[in-house]
Amino acid sequence: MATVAFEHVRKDFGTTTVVRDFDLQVADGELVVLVGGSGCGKSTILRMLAGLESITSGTVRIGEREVTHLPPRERNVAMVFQDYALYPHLTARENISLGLRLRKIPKDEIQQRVRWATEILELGPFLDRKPKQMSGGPWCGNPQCSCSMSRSPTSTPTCVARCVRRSPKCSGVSGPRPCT
Amino acid sequence: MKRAAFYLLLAVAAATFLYPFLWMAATTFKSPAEVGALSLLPDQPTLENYRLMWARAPFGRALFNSMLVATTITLSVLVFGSSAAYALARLSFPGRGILNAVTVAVLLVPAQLTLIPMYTLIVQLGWVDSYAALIVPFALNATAILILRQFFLQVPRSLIDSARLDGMGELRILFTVFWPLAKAPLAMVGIITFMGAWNEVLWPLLVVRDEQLMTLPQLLTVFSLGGGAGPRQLATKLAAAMVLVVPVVLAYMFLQRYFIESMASTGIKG
Repeated sequence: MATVAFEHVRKDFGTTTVVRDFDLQVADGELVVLVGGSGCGKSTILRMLAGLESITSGTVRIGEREVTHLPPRERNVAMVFQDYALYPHLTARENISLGLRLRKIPKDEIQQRVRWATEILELGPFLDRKPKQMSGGPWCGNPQCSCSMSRSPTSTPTCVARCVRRSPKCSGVSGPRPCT
Repeated sequence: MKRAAFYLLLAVAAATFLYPFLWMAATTFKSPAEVGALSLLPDQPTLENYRLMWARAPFGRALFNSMLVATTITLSVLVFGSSAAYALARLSFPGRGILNAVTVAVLLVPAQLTLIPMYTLIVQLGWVDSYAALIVPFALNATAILILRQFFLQVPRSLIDSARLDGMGELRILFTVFWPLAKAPLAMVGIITFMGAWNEVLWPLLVVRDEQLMTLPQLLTVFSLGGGAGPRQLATKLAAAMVLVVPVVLAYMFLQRYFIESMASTGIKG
């Protein structure tokens, strides 16, 4: 994990300013929750952190590194989406390992990550199922959400962002999480 | 009772469509004396018509040409069409709206209208009597872009974001994430394109004169027109037509599930 800093960040969509002079310091390992009304910019801030949205002005740092203009794949950030964003045509195992494979992480390490997900997030029975086949069953918690959380572009993400609604779909997640 | 009458009606309707085709298939196995008969079963089945067809014109070569041209066009339309559709549906760039409008506008232009300018272009490029003349003008089409774009618009944005976080570039997102999700529309675009390319007669007649480069429908047309009339020729021509129709029927049978699924979901009628 690492620190996260937003410095005077501004985001405009055309002529509409959605984030104005936003400052935030998040310490290493700290849990931060952004709360606000619909359309106030919570998701935009997370998307700017992940590199999915460009920044009009200001600076974003993860650790000591300035990442303001880096593409998502170079930021080492994991994100859990509100709808989980699992690839529907891949099994849980493939969903977890795809990002790692694309980064040419050694097979042993990928297997280790899958094992970790299996044990910590109780994903064992779902590993060879596709997202549609994951819901239901006698297990407690939400396996789709667990699977989404165990996906990360590297084996050790420096930062985890997560989007949830106020009535979170992920409320039933069991087991400890890397960071929420 | 009502149900039985309904099925009887359907069977009669199906038979009116099937009979001419079955008659054509049966006639190719008939001897010249039987060709005019309406029966579906030949008295003395023979492969003579197929042998004659093969001997009189280079149908083997034409079959190869058609396969090559139709397959290349289909692959090209799938790759370039889906790339264009992805860009128009999911990427932001200046002029995207105009390009979308132009793509729709292209559909309004009748193909016959562009034949002469396209022919002039092919002549100026020196492509007459070449595979390029048969393939390049059809390597991308607006229908494919529109069908695929419509589907790509429905893919959740979070899936693309997730793929970007995983480290994928746009092309990898297209082929690793979108293609597996778009099997049905891709199959439909594939089969529509393949059938169109396979059955095309007019364009090859314009740009190809070398018999060795002719496609199957073109050679069949030339063969039918130049081969003389009469029942003796009819069975041979029908044999050539059978060779033309079988690959398309086979392709349709393989992809039928996707085809119907996709037509039902996109509301596009052939």
